[in-house]
Amino acid sequence: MQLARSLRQGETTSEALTEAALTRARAAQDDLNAFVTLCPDEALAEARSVDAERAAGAALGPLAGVPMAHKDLFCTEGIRTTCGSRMLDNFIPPYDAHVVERVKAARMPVIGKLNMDEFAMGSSNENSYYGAVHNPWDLRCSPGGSSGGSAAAVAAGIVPGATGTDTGGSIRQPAALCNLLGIKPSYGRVSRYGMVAFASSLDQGGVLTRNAEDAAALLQVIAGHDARDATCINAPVPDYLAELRTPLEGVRIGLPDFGDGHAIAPAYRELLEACIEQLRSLGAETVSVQLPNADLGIAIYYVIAPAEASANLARYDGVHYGHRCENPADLQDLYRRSRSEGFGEEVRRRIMVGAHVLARGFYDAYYLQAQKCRRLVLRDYQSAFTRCDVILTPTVRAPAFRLGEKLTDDPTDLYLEDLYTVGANLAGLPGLSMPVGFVDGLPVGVQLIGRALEEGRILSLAHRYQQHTDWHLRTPPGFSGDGA
Amino acid sequence: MSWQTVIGLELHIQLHTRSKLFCGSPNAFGGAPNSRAGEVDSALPGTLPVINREAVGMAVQLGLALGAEINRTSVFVRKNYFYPDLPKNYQISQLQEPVFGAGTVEVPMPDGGTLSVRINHAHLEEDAGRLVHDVFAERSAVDLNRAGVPLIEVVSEPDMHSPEEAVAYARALHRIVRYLGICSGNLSRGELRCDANVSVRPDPEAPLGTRTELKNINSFRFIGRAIEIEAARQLRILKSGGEVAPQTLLFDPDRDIVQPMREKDTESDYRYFPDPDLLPVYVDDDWLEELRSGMPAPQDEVIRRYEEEFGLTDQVARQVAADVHSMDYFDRVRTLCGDAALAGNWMAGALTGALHRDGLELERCPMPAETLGELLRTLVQGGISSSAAKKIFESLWSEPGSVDERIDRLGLRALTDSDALKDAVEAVIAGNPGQVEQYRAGRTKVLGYLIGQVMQATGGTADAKTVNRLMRERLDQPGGDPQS
Amino acid sequence: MSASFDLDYLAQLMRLNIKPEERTGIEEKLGSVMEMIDQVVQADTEGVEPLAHPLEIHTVLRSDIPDEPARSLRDWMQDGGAPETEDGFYTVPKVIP
Repeated sequence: MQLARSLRQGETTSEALTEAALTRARAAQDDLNAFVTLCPDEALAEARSVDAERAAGAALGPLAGVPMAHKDLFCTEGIRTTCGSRMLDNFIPPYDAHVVERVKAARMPVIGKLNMDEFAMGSSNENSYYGAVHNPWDLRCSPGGSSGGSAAAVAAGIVPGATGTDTGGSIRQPAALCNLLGIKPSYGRVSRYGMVAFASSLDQGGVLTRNAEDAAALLQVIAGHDARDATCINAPVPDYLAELRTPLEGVRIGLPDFGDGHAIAPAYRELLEACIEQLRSLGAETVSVQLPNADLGIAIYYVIAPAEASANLARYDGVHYGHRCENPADLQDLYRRSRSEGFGEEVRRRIMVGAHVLARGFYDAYYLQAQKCRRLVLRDYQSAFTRCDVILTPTVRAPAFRLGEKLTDDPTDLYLEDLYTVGANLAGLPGLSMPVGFVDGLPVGVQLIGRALEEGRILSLAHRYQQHTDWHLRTPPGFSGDGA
Repeated sequence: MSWQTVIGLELHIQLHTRSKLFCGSPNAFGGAPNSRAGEVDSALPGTLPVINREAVGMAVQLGLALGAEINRTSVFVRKNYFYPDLPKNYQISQLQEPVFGAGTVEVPMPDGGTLSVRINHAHLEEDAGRLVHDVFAERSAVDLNRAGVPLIEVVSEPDMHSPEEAVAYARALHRIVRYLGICSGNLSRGELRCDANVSVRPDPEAPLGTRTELKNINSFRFIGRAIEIEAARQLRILKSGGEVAPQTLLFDPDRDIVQPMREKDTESDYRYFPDPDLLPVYVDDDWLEELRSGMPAPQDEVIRRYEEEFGLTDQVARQVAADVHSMDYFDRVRTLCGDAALAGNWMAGALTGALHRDGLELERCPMPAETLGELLRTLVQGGISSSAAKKIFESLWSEPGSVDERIDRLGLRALTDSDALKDAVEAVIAGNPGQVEQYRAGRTKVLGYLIGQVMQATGGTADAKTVNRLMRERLDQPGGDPQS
Repeated sequence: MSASFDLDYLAQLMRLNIKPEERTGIEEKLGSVMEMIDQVVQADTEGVEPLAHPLEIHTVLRSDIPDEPARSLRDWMQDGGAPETEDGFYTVPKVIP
């Protein structure tokens, strides 16, 4: 990370970097609406303390002093954590998420909490109680979602990196739409403790940055075992920065044929081909692979995720914390009004879908059947990975869309945003999106999916690619922040 | 017609772990409201459950004791319903793959016979908190101290046919869990609670009648009484040609009636599904063997051994062999003091008395077995008198410390120095010439009086046996009274 | 069963109110989601074991050690963490048991 190097060489201070990041965040807030909460006092205090320690010659981690920001569903002790929901508008957690603890331990000042789709349900960041986030590349457009605030803040150069979460594509899709590198690690690589749950078997924390090198450095900070998450993998975390240097020679890239139903625009197709050509020229081989059940992905996802969410979001009931309605007549009125007022439309819809697919008489046909289909998807990937090391696909179907454009009578229009990304969540595999160029002036990305726990490999591919291309160096006009 | 009552019981047994089932909050009764509820058991956003190994082990041991089929792999599911004492608004429980399956309880009946009650299965789950209605006039109050306490629910087959059989079965299971040391078994604290399914049929060959469920009965006497009332009610209905409605009932001991529960707030569709925060629990061969070998020998065997090998009376043997904690305590005291009968008597006497007085269980005993063992060893070796031992015991009970230090502080070390004792004997003889004369005239009963005088003079520190010997020797001296 | 659902039942299960003026819109949108997920119902899964979780491993268990010191939420909930408390209790409208 360039900022980290400048800090180490004494060219600047953490306080200066943090102050500048806060200034940019405030200046861009009207345009982008990327932040829900800014934490200037905490961030500057940490920055000064890092500067003092550095001046005293203390040994500090590689990212110490570099400002960053968290998606607003990572619990932060003493700092409100809203999940983009009215339900948690007043929620101030008494504890830190594991990811937040790790970032603190790395001594990175956290300048604020980033806007998002409510409870991470959405692909446009329009489902936030705090309003939509705008895409720095075109303020009329969505930055994608649900980690839309994270993507906008990094793309606008406010911070060099931010955390995000990805349940069906919520890191990779906004990364693609904002010209960033966004990585969703393997399921279990990053602790979910303190990360407010949407769909527990699919959720995974990750990072959004400008390039693969920064992603490797930041992922290094947040990855690793945590005994408070029974689904967190207890395996050593490799040195991701070292793995970036792995040569590309002999790496087999699998190219799935999705058929006509998944057609992307010719201009995007050309960028995809150019990216593949570039990787080939760097020594990678390509093979074609089959993912015959990929078309089922969205439907499976929209059974399993709402089912899990219907239980995960039951705890928001107006009794123990969060929004409570005024003057409830009785307990049922307290539940119903608190929840109806606290949750937005998309959340209410999804938990009702979840209740439906688990309900007596429907469980076998929907939920159990979706679990069987999920195994079919997993098998597809297992079989593909016998022929290749990495799978390459488009990340999105098209570049960023206009805000409001997909707020139609049919919510499933927007659900298709996850078409290419949802498979990695269903199968628990690591996936990243990296910038590969522009269609009509808006960025698009390519997705790389690796075997479980092979984050290092997909990051090294992206890094090699970025050493020979400059798409990732382009910044949105009007946001010339030096946050990179 | 020979009407038959058919009863199946579900016993909810709190497991006596140190921490709760899914987090490190202390598992203890009482305490200020919500003082034993942390972020996980209060279901704060982002928190996650991690299973307590000890709770699984205890459940498996119960299964082994009942000769049940242990499910090597068991699965936790979410049971979804809204209630204020259930902060997640789902209970983590088990359904299709519980911790153990079919087993048997051999129930000793008052007539000396045995009733075999088949166990259908038992599942491990978390207890709910408490919803209290009598603290505030206008509000119900939620205390989450009990939320997350491990419960094993043992579900019997409908093998009981009278209130007496049901009570005998509940008592038998109560004795087993107490003996295994997995539950303290205090019914008044809700450590064992009972649901009873009751139906009545015209004769034992007829198909089972419609059953009702009596919920949450918390004493053996009430189990019997509630079933008696309900069976009689059903019989009246059936005899008059009516139909029993399947419903959930509550027993009101004050009014001695059963009445239907309000159905308004109860859920009719629990939408069970596997908890995605918890992967299946696996009990491997090593663990199973460790659990098996950690279990005590059958209780009847232990009682017989205590009587035959150590000479304990039947009553003392039963008391000492009440559970593994008591047996372990006994073994340590017995080994240290070298007198098993004495150890047994003290445990059944002074120790039990003190525990009762302070409302404590042996696991919370303020006096370590080592201290009692040391005290009794000193007594056996004549270093203190019996009455002194009792004083020292009480002193150490209220203020723990070392036996030696306490003997000295209380000045209770036995006068074993013969010269000093001889002087005391001489003084008593000199001071009671009349009694001495009576004794020598053959009225030997006055010996007791004279010994008592010595004991009094030495403040109870003298060893009564030694005084007795010295006094006899002196009185029986052929030389008669040295003063004469 | 294609796309059939009972909105009032689902709203009751999820403790939500449906405003009369929203009903048609909600029903329509829910209907299109239900239709979309029907693909799952139609899929051929003969002989396929369900996959409950991407990690097909057994769970890690925790040692039975209480937190020291106990991490009680009592202060937090009374200091504004909970919407309504009294004497350390969470309170709700009177429930008749």
